[in-house]
Amino acid sequence: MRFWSKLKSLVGRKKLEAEMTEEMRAHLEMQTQVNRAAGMSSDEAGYAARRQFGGMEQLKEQCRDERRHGWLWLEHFAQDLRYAAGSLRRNPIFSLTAVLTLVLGLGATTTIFTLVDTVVWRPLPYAEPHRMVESFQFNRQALRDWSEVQQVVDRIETYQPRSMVLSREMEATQIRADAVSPGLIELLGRPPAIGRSFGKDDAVEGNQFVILLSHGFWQRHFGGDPEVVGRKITLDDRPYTVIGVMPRGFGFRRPSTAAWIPLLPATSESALKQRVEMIARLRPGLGLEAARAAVTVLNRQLNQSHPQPETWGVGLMTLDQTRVNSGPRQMMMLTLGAVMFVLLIACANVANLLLVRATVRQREFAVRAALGAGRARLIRQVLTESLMLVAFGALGGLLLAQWAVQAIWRLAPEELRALTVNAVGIDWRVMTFAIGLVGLAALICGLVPALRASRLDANQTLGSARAATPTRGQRRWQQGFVVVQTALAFVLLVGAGLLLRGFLRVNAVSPGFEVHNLAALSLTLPSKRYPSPAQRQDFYERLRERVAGLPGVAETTLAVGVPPSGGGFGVSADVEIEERPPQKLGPGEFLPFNTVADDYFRVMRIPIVRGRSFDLQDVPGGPPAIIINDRMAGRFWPGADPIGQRVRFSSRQPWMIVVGVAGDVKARGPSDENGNLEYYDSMRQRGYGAYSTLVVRTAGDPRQLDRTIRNEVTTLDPRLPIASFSPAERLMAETLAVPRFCLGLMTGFAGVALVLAAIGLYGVMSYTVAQRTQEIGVRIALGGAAGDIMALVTRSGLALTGVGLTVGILAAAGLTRFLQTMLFEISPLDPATFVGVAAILALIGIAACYVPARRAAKVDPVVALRSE
Amino acid sequence: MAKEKSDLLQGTLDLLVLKALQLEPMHGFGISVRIRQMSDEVLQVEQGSLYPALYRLEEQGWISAEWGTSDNNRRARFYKLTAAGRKQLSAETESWERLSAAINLVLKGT
Repeated sequence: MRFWSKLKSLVGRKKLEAEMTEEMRAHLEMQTQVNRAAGMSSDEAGYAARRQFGGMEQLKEQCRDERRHGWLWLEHFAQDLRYAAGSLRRNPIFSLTAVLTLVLGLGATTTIFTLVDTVVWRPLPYAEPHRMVESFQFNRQALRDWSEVQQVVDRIETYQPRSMVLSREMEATQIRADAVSPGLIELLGRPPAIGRSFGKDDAVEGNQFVILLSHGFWQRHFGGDPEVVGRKITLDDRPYTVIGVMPRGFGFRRPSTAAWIPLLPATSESALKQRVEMIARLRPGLGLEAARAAVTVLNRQLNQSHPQPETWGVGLMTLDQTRVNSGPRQMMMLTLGAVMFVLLIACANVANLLLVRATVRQREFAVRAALGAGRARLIRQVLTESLMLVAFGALGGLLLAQWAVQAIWRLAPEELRALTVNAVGIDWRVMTFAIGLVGLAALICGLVPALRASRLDANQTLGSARAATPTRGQRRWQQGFVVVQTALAFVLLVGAGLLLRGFLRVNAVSPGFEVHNLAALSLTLPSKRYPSPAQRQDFYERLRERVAGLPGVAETTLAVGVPPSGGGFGVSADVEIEERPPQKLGPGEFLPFNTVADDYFRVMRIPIVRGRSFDLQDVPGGPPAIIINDRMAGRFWPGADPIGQRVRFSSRQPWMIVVGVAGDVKARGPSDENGNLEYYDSMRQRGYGAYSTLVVRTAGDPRQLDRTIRNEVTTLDPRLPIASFSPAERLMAETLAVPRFCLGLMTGFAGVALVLAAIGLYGVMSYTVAQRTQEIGVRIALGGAAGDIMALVTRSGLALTGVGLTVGILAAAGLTRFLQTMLFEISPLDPATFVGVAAILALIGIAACYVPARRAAKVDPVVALRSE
Repeated sequence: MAKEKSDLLQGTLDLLVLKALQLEPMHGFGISVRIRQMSDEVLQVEQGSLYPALYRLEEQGWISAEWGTSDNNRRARFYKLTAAGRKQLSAETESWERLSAAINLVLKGT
């Protein structure tokens, strides 16, 4: 369509132009005739007529304007586009440089924006996700009896995350399958793509072996077979029939959930003691705050009727809460800010390029102005050119982003990916953002050159025979852009530098136990084959024996969890100490505990600072022994000896005796502030549970024993799923995975910013040298040495850098305070970082001046002076 | 080339052009002659104003144009009033009369 109408208007316009010319000429002729009739000679008559007529071109222009009043802007725009395209084509080096710079800037920004949008902003793929709330770890009995909750929500569904063993031929793998109440999928509002969802009949004893697949799982394990309904898979040694597949892009509750099975209603005593996660829809018209307030009241009533030894407060959170209030989100936003800096620097580069071009084209603009183009028209035309450049840059940038987003997402840490079930990709929101960016960039790049280009005095420019020189104002703008670039680069580098140093410090702090040559093997013993603690104990002990006998293994021990995941359980109730009033924990404070074997502290190299570790004195059935950590001892027994004291965490618990105090460990990873309390109880006393971790101290690199140790597990019980075997170092590092990832990105951007700023400086310096060729020629002719000339150029370049640095330092000093929360033991105004970055930029500045300086020194004064 | 005509002036010119075409269609040169004649040589419309006005009026649909032959066998573009143009002419005439009466009142008063 575009082609035809262009053709038509082209043909049409020629015709219309011809007609207009003819009309005017007819008028002229008639006027000439009248003049002749009045007595002038033919020559005079014609001359008078023409003179009286005035400028025909201008008149035609006006008429054209009038005629196409409504379409004027379109025609002008089309003209501008054509003109811009031609102009860009005639200057390929310039165009390519500008476009590539923009591709880099726009592409990077779009990539990060897509990531941030997917992870943080895009709504979850459910119907009305903002009306849904969830609460964790609800006791089923309490939920069943809690009719008052109907005041707040109008639909409650529950689910239990389950880890099940998928058996296929020779392999056993663990998958996450959530057991959901029948109406839950329906509540979320997305119908299955294939087959059906659950109904009430599926939640009946005997019927519950049906399974609903996620899209990804369907692709991976059934190859996307459209006839998958009715096929069977084996989970936990039982066949499940596939009843449907959910659409692509749907996930619940985590991206790793592979499938869903029905949750049977709680009827038996033991079932009612289970805990479930609750999802509910708020009553229409009820806001979240009001709901929360109502729930707090109901909560108290609930606690009175159903007190639990480990009481969890019922809190309502929207589904989005984890995304909204998290550290990863902060880091992602920071990365977005960093990439915007890069974009600004890139735009400044392109603006400078355009400024230089505007200088070269001064004469061309003067001619256009003389031909009747108004100032507004000229500005529009230059803006169109920059718009075209930016548009190409954006197209290239989008392509780059498409690829980069997928590549980066694959490298992203699990913690980040778990924040959303949305699939990562460019959608209309990103496109809208990209278009907005384009407009902004075009303005930044094009406005100044456009304004300068249009402010010409035609006479002056056309009159001089010299090649066009930049006005002083123009040079000022160029220098201004370079100063801004340098400042931006400085701020970015300082920010990245501070974060990096903080990160390194976090890593360097001792975790409280010996991390090297340590590995953890997590085990899950299915209750069907290991129903009693005795059987589990038997398995663990046999496994320990076998593993301890392997070459390369120094020691083994057993615990429920190891840092950084700790024990996974904790209490948030009051700490009752015998003969003292109960000690309250702070709001939101949490007292985690870990169940460990006797030699745990020895193998982990955790010091026992007082008392003893667990040993044979602590018999099952006897008074429960606990070991508290140093922090806890200092908090609840300041200045006193806690050994022998009796503690419990609820009136229904028996009194426990403190037998030892252990050193603090970073139970939740290197960034754990060591402010946390922790206690341990004895595995021998508590009993061996189904979830445990075998801790292995190796002689050398634990990764080499990965296969061997797993083989031991399989030898003992071939049907046990391949448990995860991880060196402790890697586990600890993984908790810092998100900051490391974001930091990597930011460092990359800082590098790119540095390169772009250097290029910008180099460009301006080269140009300045070229412009001052005559002056340099004079200096050389008057006896200036090469070294002096180089120093001259370098000095001016350094002056520019210096101004940029000053601005940058001031800006950074003001801005880095926003990083405070993310900096670990490093001040936002850390002088070493500031000085270091300034030094780097100064060096880069000198390097960027080097080539132009040398070129200046090599100027042949004869040539330079002759070019006038 | 700034178009600095005030709206008042522009509207007046439009009115004159429409009036000039009331009797019969005419080409651009002829219109300027006719306006001069009708105004007793007082109003001399220059091409720089006339043609843009003609094109504007054509764009707005109050006059239409056709190619024809002039008195001296020259091909020229003839303009004529459309039905809407006639209506516009009477409406503008009326509002001009009201305006000038008002101005006269102001000038006469002390």
